[in-house]
Amino acid sequence: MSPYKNQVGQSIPKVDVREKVTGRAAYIADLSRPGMLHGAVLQSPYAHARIKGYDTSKALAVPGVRCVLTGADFTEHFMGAFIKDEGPIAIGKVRYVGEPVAVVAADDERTARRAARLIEVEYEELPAVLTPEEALAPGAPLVHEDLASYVKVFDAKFEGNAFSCTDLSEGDVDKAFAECDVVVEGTYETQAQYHLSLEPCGALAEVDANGRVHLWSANQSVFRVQANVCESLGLPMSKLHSMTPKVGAGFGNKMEAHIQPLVVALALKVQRPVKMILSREEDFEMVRARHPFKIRIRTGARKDGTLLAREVETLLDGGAYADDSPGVLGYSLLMARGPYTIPNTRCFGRVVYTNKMRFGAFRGFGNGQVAFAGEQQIDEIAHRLGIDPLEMRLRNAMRIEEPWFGGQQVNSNGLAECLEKVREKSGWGRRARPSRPGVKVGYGVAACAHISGLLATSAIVRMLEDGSFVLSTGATDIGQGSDTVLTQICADALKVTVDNVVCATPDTDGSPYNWGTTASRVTYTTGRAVAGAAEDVGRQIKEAAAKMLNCPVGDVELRDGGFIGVKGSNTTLPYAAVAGFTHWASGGPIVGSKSLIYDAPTIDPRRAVAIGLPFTRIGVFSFNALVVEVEIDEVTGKATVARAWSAVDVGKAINPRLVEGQIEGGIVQGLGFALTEEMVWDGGRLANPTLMDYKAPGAVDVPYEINSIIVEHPEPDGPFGAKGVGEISLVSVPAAVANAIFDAAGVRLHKLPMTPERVLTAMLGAD
Amino acid sequence: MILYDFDLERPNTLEEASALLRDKGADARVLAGGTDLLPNMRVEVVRPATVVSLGAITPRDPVRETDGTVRIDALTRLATLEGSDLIRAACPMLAEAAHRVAGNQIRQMGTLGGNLCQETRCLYYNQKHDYQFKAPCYKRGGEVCYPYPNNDRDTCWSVYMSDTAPALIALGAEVEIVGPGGTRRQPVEQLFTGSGLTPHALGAGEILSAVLVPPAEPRFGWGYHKSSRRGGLEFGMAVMAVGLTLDGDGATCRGARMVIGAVREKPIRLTATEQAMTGAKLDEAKIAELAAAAAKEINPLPHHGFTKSYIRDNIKIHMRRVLSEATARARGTGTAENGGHHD
Ligand SMILES: Cc1cc2nc3c(=O)[nH]c(=O)nc-3n(C[C@H](O)[C@H](O)[C@H](O)COP(=O)(O)OP(=O)(O)OC[C@H]3O[C@@H](n4cnc5c(N)ncnc54)[C@H](O)[C@@H]3O)c2cc1C
Ligand code: SF4
Repeated sequence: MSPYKNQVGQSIPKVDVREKVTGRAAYIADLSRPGMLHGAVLQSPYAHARIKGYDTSKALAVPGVRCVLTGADFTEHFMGAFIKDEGPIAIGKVRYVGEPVAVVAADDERTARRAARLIEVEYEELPAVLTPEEALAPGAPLVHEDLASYVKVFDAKFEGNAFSCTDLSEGDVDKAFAECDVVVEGTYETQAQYHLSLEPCGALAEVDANGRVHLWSANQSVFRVQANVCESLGLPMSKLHSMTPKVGAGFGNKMEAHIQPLVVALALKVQRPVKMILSREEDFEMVRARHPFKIRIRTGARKDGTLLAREVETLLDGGAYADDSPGVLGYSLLMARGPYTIPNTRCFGRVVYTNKMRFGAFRGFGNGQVAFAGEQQIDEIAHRLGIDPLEMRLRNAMRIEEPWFGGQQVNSNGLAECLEKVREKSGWGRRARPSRPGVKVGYGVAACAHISGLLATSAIVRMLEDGSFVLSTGATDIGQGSDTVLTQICADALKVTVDNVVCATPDTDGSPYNWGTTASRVTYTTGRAVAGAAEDVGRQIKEAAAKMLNCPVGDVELRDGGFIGVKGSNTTLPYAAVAGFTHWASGGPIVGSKSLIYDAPTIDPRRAVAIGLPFTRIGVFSFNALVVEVEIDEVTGKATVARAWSAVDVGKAINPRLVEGQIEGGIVQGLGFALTEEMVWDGGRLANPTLMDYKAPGAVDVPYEINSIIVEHPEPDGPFGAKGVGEISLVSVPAAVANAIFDAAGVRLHKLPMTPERVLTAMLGAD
Repeated sequence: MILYDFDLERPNTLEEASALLRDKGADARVLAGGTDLLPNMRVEVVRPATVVSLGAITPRDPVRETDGTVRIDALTRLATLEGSDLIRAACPMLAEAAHRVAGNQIRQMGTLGGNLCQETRCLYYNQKHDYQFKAPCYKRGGEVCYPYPNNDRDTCWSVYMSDTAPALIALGAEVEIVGPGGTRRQPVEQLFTGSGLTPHALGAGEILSAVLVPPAEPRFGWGYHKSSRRGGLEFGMAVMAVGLTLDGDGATCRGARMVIGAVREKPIRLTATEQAMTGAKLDEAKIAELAAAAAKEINPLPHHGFTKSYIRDNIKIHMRRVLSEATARARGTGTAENGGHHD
């Protein structure tokens, strides 16, 4: 037998890799139940209209149709992570094109979809507001007349269509700007981006003989699904059993509810299992997308490059429902200072309702948008002052002991090392520009920080009769590999190999609470809970072994490979013996657990003022620096990223290969955001809800060289020092590409995506 | 998912297929690879009551006939074309054009005939499912045109996006058509009406049976370019194809065909620029001038988010490259697979 190696720090293949590569992994669309019906949705053709009535008779007359539900069948129960403003279906009025207005369950999908088209809805069209500016205009129609009376989970500042306004400040900004030698100012605009999980959203619900609902769905949290379904249908949580099949990726789109409430409502009504899977267009039109931002930003520095002040104002399009918007707004403002020492910062932002689909959480959570603006300004100042942009960042990088904007303590900070690593590996400043006729080449750098954390999580580790373990956390593995990483943490803490630990599939009946697979949090928060539960188990193993060996607990220790040893001697006991003893003789089966909530305060009231901030405890900080090499075709304006170097301080890479996967995936998704992807509306309707017309990069469009560089500044309370990596590598991409475009062509782009037309127009304008 | 009901027929010969089409009238369509027809049936741009599948008919491999003409069955898969030694030697521009279509999976299914007979495209209201909740546009029999509300009901500015058609026209190719009256041949160019509503000039019961590419003349050279946003799985923003021959001096243009696809309801031949080329010495300055003339002659429709002026500028730039390549190939100074005039 090969000697035992620590399980943490190894690039162990994903625990479910065989299932996936053999095509046997079951996703929501693969599931089926006996007697199952299929659901379909009728969507609103209007951006804003009052619903005057429904005629479902034609649909109900179609053979095979079992049930039709419309807004008239639902009583008003509301869900929403921050503001409870959303029912499971449009009730009374529709607020965006594509919004579900009726659902059908039928014997097969085709019948259901056909019947949905036969439902007649009488509308009275209302004036719509399609942009934040329209929504803020005096006398603008209100998207939600009842905003004031909605339940809100935080002290929301709202007015008219603006449903959340947040103000953050630190230092004396006006005074500081007066002391600056150089001040840059600009406005920036970012677009709506589609999450593009390869798997569209779907759900399957079944009601058992006791009236309890069993629900499988594409999700990022079985617990958020449970909460949303129960809130929006008025069900007690104990009535709903939420489970997960394999998930074909989630980038924020599957965290809060999508169609689960509708599928459950159908199943409750017909008392048969019902499955509904969205088409690609429906997934585009009715789930959620990244917030379009408008950003006005001003940054000032002294002649020597010392940053002194920054002021940011953002306006977010929130779409028709609040969803995660207040969180995205608040978080983006907290990140808008960037990872620099800028003693005087003031940020203000608003998010407003419009008659478009809801905008919500998306990898980066608002950080990529503000970084696009802020990181270009750091570059601009550097150029004005004749300082190398990377050097400029190093000089202003937050020092290790410094708190974050708002006052939160930062306990690990690898920013400077990230910057140094990308400088070294990319050959920054030393690289000869490969010149080809008609091609301009440039290099750009950007840096950022991102949190991992937020809210509650727990873990249970049970020792089985033979000495192996079951780990339950309730955290959905959305393809990123958290089951593997959590298994590694558990195995390592118990000094066994990963094949001695099985990670249970999340299930609200069987798993302990986990807020969700979001906010780059699973490795850090759930990992902490797993390490804690494993430690609890280890303690109990030692206690049982001490009893068996008749020695003090202090004399026994866990040994590599799953043994108990007596200190200073060769006496060992295999875990199996301890497990047998506790199961059959004394003490009882060993169960360890750990619950926690991230609770370090974000705002230190002695340093900062925060008004209308929806979260007050965000998480721990990861850091990133990115260098990209961009080639611009001089005649077409097409910018292509040829190479990228991304260094991320992840605290500790539990599984380096999976960390690299996250870095690469974030860069590719970030490149789509930076260069090609854009949801385009034609009036109230989405003009390009297909993968043909929505331009996500394909395999040939991404850099042939992405260099992922892992930096490890351990987080003191992270599991083995780890912190998150899920989102951060995306955040700096648009800014780094914009800075490289400037380096290559001398033009600054203020609007995403940086399409060939926009680059070319800017270049022609600059000539 | 195709929501409406239709019948499926599977004849064994093109003649049987043609008879079926004639019997069923306007409500029938043939299905070759299905990569265009089936998505269009899904979004109900077309709603044939009968689908006549050609799946039971096996195409022959491309052959060179005694007069040097290359004969390609309409049912030949695009993947077969791009990989065929004969095509790569005799008409490499077609191999290149076939290679530029979509992605490998689609080229494995899609046929040359289907590529030529594909529907026109419009970002508004016929590429996606919202026909379900939006009144049909002219092309679908309705009363409105969304992107061009001032157009009358006989005008539809949807765009024809075949990648192979411009190449075939630039090669002077013909199509063979099987119909109720037997078999006829006509230039590929004449397959198109120029109307976005009914883009193809095929009579009742008519089916493409083959494409015929004439042998290249001496000192023939070609250039081809497809502009698109992404590198793959993408329709063209503009497709440029040029076939030209040079005089014995290796510089003077003896004749040329210049075709732009994916910008209008049909592939457009730039006859004025072709004439300006003929007799001219194709040096760098002339080529730049001709590319500019081409961009001026073409009147692209703004489509799929690309503006008219951006498409024009793009054509100006890439036409220059295309013309240089064609000239170099005609001189024999191009790349290895230069125009096939040696055989
Ligand atoms: C994702 C995607 C990307 C694509 N990208 C491209 C692209 O980049 N460039 C491009 O040119 N096309 C593209 N296409 C369109 C299409 O796939 C190709 O044009 C393909 O060659 C069509 O051939 P087919 O045999 O599948 O046609 P089918 O779908 O079988 O037929 C298309 C049409 O032609 C008619 N037809 C077929 N064969 C004949 C015949 N012998 N005689 C008369 N009528 C006939 C059919 O009735 C139908 O109306 C794309 C399609 C998809 C789905
Ligand atoms: S251009 Fe043609 S296809 Fe497009 S909306 Fe108008 S009529 Fe319809």
